[in-house]
Amino acid sequence: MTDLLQQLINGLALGSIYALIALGYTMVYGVLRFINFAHGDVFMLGAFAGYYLAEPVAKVIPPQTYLGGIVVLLLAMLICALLGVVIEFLAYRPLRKRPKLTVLITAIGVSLFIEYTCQHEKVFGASPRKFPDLIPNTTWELGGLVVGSAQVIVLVTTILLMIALTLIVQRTKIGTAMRAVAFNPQAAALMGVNVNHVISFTFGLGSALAAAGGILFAMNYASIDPLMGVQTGLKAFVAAVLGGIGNLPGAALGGLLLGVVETFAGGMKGISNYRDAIAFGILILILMFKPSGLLGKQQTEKV
Amino acid sequence: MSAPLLKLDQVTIRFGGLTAVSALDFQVNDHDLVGLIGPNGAGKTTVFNLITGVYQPTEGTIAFAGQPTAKRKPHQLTKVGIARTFQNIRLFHSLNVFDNVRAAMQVHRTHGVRQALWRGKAYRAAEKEVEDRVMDLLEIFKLGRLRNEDAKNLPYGDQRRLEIVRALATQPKLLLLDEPAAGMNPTEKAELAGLIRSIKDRFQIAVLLVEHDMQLVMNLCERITVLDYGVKIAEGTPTEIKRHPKVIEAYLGEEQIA
Amino acid sequence: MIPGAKRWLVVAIVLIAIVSAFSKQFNSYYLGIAIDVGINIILAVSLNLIMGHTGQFSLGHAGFMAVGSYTAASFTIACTKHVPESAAPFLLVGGLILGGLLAALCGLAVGVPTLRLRGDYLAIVTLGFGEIIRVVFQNMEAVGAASGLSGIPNYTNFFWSWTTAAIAAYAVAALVNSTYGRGFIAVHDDEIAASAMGINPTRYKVTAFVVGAFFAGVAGALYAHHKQTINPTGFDFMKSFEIVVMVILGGMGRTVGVIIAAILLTILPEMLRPVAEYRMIIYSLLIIVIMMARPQGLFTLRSSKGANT
Repeated sequence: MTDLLQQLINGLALGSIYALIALGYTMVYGVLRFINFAHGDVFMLGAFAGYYLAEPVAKVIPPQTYLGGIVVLLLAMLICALLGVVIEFLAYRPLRKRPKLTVLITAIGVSLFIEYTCQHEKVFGASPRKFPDLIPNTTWELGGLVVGSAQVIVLVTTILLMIALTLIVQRTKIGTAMRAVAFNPQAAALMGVNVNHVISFTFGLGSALAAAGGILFAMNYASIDPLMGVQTGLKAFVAAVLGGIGNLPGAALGGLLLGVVETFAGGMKGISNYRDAIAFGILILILMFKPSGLLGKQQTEKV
Repeated sequence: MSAPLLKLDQVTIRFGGLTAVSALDFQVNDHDLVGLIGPNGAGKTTVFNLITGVYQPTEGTIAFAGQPTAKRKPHQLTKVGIARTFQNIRLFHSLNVFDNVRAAMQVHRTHGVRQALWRGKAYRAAEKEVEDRVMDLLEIFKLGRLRNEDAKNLPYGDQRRLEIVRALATQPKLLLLDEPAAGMNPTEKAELAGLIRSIKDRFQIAVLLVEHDMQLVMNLCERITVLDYGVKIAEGTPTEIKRHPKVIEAYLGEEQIA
Repeated sequence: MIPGAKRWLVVAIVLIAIVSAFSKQFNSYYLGIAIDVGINIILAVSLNLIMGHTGQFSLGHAGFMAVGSYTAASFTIACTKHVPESAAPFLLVGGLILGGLLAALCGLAVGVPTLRLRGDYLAIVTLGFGEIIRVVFQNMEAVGAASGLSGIPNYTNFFWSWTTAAIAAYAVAALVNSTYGRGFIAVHDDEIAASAMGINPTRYKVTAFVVGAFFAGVAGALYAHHKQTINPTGFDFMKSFEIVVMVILGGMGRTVGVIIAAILLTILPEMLRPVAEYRMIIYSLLIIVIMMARPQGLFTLRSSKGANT
């Protein structure tokens, strides 16, 4: 029982990170109807931003304090938000009216560009690096359960960010505009919504969440490298599709579900080697029965 | 007399809470030219989608040539002889005029993957025959000289005609035309009326016409069924329909009945 | 006299045989690249059937290639000791067919459940299938698991690579350019209209997947007997993406364009060898630039495909 609970906690921590990244995929899909393949790389850049920020921040705020960690997290989110906006502006905006396939291929191109540039020795280099301790490294034991401070931070941060996101989307003017654009971009534009601003904002918001995911991931797994966003990004995307792409609660649900299932599968003998295939296995199964994902709306083509 | 070509018996379809078509009884006989009219949103196109198997009725049955059509896919129904055009022209936009019609000859081709790969003598003879049939059809509708044009580059009226040709290529017993006169000017409409009549005579088929343009339907059809909010409100000859109080009421304020 | 399109196939094979007879004169480095080109043509042309003609966006083509690769390699490794040297071509052809058939079976397995899906959903699911296939090989001890399979006999030569490429190109072109084959494009353009014309979209999509997967498997088999060592990472998402790029740059659904793109994109990385460390950066930038400048493909003049695919 303790074992199961332990696995559940580990799974939820991993799932929270998937969920944070999945939210970005789903938001961008909501307003632009395309898969931003480079999103996983923004997640990676978030982790690296944290890596390089740790030292300068430590000069002002003592290292390994919660305050220092939060400052690094917020700064990295800000940097990646800007990056996301820039990527959209340079690579995707010129293709706004083009077929979806063109944009998708471009997105994969952008993703490869970021990955290979970062692997170059003059940038980050290909070898993995140890991520510095941003927060006090403590573990608590509760009746046999072992919970690390990083795990607690992951869960707490994810919950806070999701609340913040919900407030932004539901309560603010720009959030309303986002929903309007997702519903019908032409109509939104006619109603005076500046669609370009909304799209930029969506990219910024999604990228900030991915950056948070990157830092939280790095805190938990201690090692970062330029290709860390490939598998994790792909799985987060699977999570978004699982939940029903374009649907925010769906992305969160899909992420948590995937994290938990993966962690449990990883603990099982015989299946653990197939861990990386499990995400896709579940995806295929669910889409066969619910082609629009768990919480997605069924769409029928008008004849 | 044998069974009617098409028979709808108490057909109802609901989408969520909305009843789009309600308890519709309706039939088309061999070589009929029947019109289905009604104000916007009356459920006319939905009836087409029910007949062609795009939708399955929630209640009631549809029979074609005496056989129930339930559970059959659109392409299977095309094979037994139901062809249609679309209200919002749906040509194959990356194929040229000739190939649009050729693609619709699937029902009657005699070869498959193996023959297409080997390209033997029989295959070539069969392909020649298909080509001749396509050209014959195109010539009848005066589209022969446009055979190599991309379908999407044709003028609007030609696109509508090509859709009809394509539907005829499947060699139907029943042709469903979904607002074929939409967007046409009076001259084009008059031509279209002549065309529909000649199709019916030449190919010996039944035609079911959904149309918005009253004058066209009144002049063309032998029998007319009127739908309003998914319910059949009248049925009869054009003269009967014109005088029918419910029809007048349904159309009041929308347009004058010719 | 052999009529029609088949004549060109025969002419091509004769030409390839002649060139192949002199292949010993060539620098082995260039010969190796020429063989790669042939293999990539098969991959691109077969994906073109699925993606270009039938409009089913697939990001898992390398998975089918892996199946063919491993199947054929295991087959020849098992047989090569028991037969004389001179039987090598027969073993290779046997391996190609076996690899192709097994890959086609996988194509069927992928095609049937994914048919209801469209666009992005289909892309991610095919990607998923490709990844699953890769992970399975990664865990299969019998074929070397993560370290891969080595000691595969070097049976693939210029003749086999290019002859198979010619056959693949012929097969896809012949298939699509028939009354039957216009159905693929009809499904691509408008599924609902296609089914109203008596075309069974499901049937066509599955056929495209099966035929495409068959040739991908054949290409994989050639690849295994060319490189002599294969491992699961060689068949990852990146490989699938490279094939997708060939099809898109060639202009979806245009056989000749796709072949040219396959040739260019095989040679390009070799030309970038002097700047090896920037090679992939340049490659990815090129993709972005081309997508912005010529999304319809590099060689497409008209904006649609007619009978002359």
